[in-house]
Amino acid sequence: MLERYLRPMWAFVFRDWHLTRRYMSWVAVFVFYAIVNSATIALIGKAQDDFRLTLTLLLGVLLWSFLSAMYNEIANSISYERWEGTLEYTFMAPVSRLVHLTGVSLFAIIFSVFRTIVILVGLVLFIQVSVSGANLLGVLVVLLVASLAFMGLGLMAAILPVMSPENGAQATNIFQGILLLVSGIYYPVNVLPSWVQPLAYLSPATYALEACRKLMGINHPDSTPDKLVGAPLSSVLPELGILLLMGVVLIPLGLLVFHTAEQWAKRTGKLKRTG
Amino acid sequence: MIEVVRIEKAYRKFQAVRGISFEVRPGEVYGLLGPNGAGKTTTLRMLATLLRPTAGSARVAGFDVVRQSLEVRRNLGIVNGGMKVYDKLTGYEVLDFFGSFYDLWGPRLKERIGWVADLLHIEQTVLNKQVKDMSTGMQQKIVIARAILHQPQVLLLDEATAGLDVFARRALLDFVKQYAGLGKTLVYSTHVMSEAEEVCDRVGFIHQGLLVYEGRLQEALALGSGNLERAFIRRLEGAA
Repeated sequence: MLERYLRPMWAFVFRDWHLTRRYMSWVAVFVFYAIVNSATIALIGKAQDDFRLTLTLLLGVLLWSFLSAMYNEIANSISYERWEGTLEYTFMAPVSRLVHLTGVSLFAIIFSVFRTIVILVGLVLFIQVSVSGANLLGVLVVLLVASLAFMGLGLMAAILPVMSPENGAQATNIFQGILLLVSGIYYPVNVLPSWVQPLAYLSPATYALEACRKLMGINHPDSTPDKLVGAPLSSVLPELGILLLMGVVLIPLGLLVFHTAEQWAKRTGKLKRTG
Repeated sequence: MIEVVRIEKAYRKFQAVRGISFEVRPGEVYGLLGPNGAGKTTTLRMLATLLRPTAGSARVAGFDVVRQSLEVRRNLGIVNGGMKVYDKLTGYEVLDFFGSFYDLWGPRLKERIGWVADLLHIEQTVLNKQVKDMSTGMQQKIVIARAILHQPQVLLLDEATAGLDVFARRALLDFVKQYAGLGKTLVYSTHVMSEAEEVCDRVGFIHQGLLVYEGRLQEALALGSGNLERAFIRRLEGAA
C-alpha cells in the first residue's frame, strides 16, 4: 500500500536526477559561479585577517547556498515543467499533490546537499580555515531542520509561476532576495534599519544562522584561529524548536496555498504550457 | 463511458463553452469537430480535469470530473498536438516515470512497454535514445505511448496530428482505429474534417461554444453530400 505512494514520489526524484545529469554542463557553470562568488565574499574576512569574520562569511555563503538552492528547485519546479512543455501531463498524473511536491522537494534537498559539498570543496582551494572544535554534526542537524521551513517557503513561492506564467518565476527571486536581506546571512541582524529588523524574526534562515554560529563557536570568546569552541546541540534547542515549528506550520501551509492556487488556475485556465 | 451534460466554461464575460451535452460509448470514436477557437480544446481540458467547468457536469469512465478527479485521471489518457515529453530523457525513462503513477513498475512495466511498443511499432532500441534525438513522428509515438501505457478506458486526442509528417499522421490515424477496436472510448478533436471522415463513428460539430450538430458519420456525410466539411458549413448556415 505504502509502495503506491513511495514509487511515484521516487519517480519525481529520479526524473529530476536524470534531467539534472543531462543538463550537467549548466549545473557545472552555475556551481562554478557559486564557488567564485562564495570565495569573493569569504576572502573579505581573510583580507581583514579576522578568523571570526572569515568563518561568519564562510558559514553564510554555504548555508545560503544550501537553502537558496533548495528553495529555487522547489519554487521553480512549475516553471521548469512549463519550460519542458510537460506541465499539463504532470498535473494530470493520478497522484496527490503531496506526493508530487514531496518528490520534488526530496530531490531538491539531495541536490542542494551535493551542490553545497562541491562548493565547500571548491572554497578550500581559496581559503584555509580550521574548523577543529566546531560542532559540525550539530550544524548538519540544524540544516536538516531548517530545510523543512525552506521547503514550505518554496512551496508557497512555487505558486507564483502558476499564477503568472510570464512574471511568476522572476517574482520568486524577489521573495528570495528579501530573505537574503533580512536574515543576516553576512552580518548581524541589528545592523539592519529598525523597521526591517522585525522581518528577520520571520525568516528561518535567521535562526539557522544563529544556531550554526553558536555550534561552530565563531563568537565564543575562547575560540582561536586554530581551535574553535563549538557549543553542544543542547544550547541551540530554542532555535531548533523555532525552526521545527516553522517547518511544521509552513509545509502544510505551503501545500494548502499551492492547492488553492491550483484550483484557481483550473478555474481561470492558467494551468497550461504557455502564458 | 463519457457523459457530458450541459457543460459550460466562462472566463469572466467570455463564454468559451455554452451548455454542451454528448455521450461516447466504449469502442466508439467520437469526432469533436470545429474551427480553431470553437471550444473543442476547452471541452477536452474540462474532461481531463485541467479546467473546472463553470456549470453542468461530466463523467469519464463513471467518475465525476470535479468531485472524483483523481479517479478520472487514472482512467484517462490525452494526446495533444502541442504536448511534449521531457526532451532530455530517454523514451524508456519517460515511460518509466509516467508508468509509476499507474502502479506500473518492474516486470509489469516491462511487459506494458513491450505491449505499447508493439502497438505503435516502436523499436526497443529507440527507447534508449533521448527524445530530442528522435524524429518528430517517433516523438509523437512516445507522447501516445505515455498516454496509453496504463491502457486507459478513455483516450482524448486533441489536434493530435498537428505538425506531423505524412507517415507519422498515417500511423496515428491507424492507431486510433486500432485502439477503439480494443473496446476503448475515444474523442477525436480536430478541425481537419478529412481525418474525422476516416476514423470517427459519430461526430459533433462545435461552433462558438455550442454543439450545433450531432450524428453518425454516415448521416453527417449525407448532410454534406459525401463531404464532412460541406456538412459543417451547411449546418452552420442552417443554424444561422
